[in-house]
Amino acid sequence: MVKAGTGARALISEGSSPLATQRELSDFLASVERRAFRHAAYALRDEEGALDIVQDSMMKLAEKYGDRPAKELPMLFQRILQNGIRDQYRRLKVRATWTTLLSTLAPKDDDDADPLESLATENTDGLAGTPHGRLEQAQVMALIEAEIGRLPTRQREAFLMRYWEDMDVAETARAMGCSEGSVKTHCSRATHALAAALKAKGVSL
Amino acid sequence: MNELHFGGRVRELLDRRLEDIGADRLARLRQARERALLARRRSAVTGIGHALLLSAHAGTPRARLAVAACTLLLAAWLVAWWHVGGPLDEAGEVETALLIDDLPVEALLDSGFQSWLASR
Repeated sequence: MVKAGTGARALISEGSSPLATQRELSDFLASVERRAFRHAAYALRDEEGALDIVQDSMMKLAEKYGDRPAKELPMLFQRILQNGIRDQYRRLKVRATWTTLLSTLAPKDDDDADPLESLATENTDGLAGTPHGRLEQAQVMALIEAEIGRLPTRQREAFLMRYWEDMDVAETARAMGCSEGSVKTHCSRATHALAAALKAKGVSL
Repeated sequence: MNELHFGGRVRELLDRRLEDIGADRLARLRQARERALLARRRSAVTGIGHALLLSAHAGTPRARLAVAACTLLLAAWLVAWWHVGGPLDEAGEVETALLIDDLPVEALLDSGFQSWLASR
């Protein structure tokens, strides 16, 4: 089992074959699946939808790009994943427009819901420290996730690919279909937006 | 503010959250991965089938035979490569040697050979 958080690039660079073997593809997917799920969930705020998108992305990568060199898999997978997220986001937006139109005819009941409530931690037992420390850490993590979810799409993509997927600027640019300069700009803006949002809530990293 | 340092700290926290993904979600991700790997095998087999069909429409009968033989050889190599990820093991090589008569069947009656084979 590949450890969570292991850089995909580091994993793939170990492969010496120019074409990805079944084992390399399997290891790559195992290394990236949980981060991909979280990434999609941050963007869509819907875990079921996120699972579907990750599944579709894996299938497309295996069927269409399974014969590509192993070192290209992270970039190709991210491109497929981001396209899937954007397509789903558009569908949800259209659906939300209709829902909003229809909801004007129905009474409102939960307008004051706090978005942080939906990001409650599922399991914090494994965290070190006192109960108070664990609670504080869980709150910080939930806050960071909520702020990542609020970032503009392109900023979130660039930030997560660069700093979570461990992809370099050139790979990120290829996955996003933009210039390296744009990636740097998106990353810088995302970092400042996140830092400012955390600082406003009294959190510093 | 150091962007790299900040990105690294966020990454650490996000990595910790990966441990909180529920068992049912992890099971679905594993199933998705297995389906994708199966689909890759299927698409490879389909590709080989297409190549064989194309060979049926090649020019002369000799050319058709050559294309079909090359396709089958390539298919055999691909299957070995994907399943094993490298060279075949020694036990497999012994079986192959027996089958192509490079190794006499009597070798299997030799206790020394048996113990060597068992140690592999």
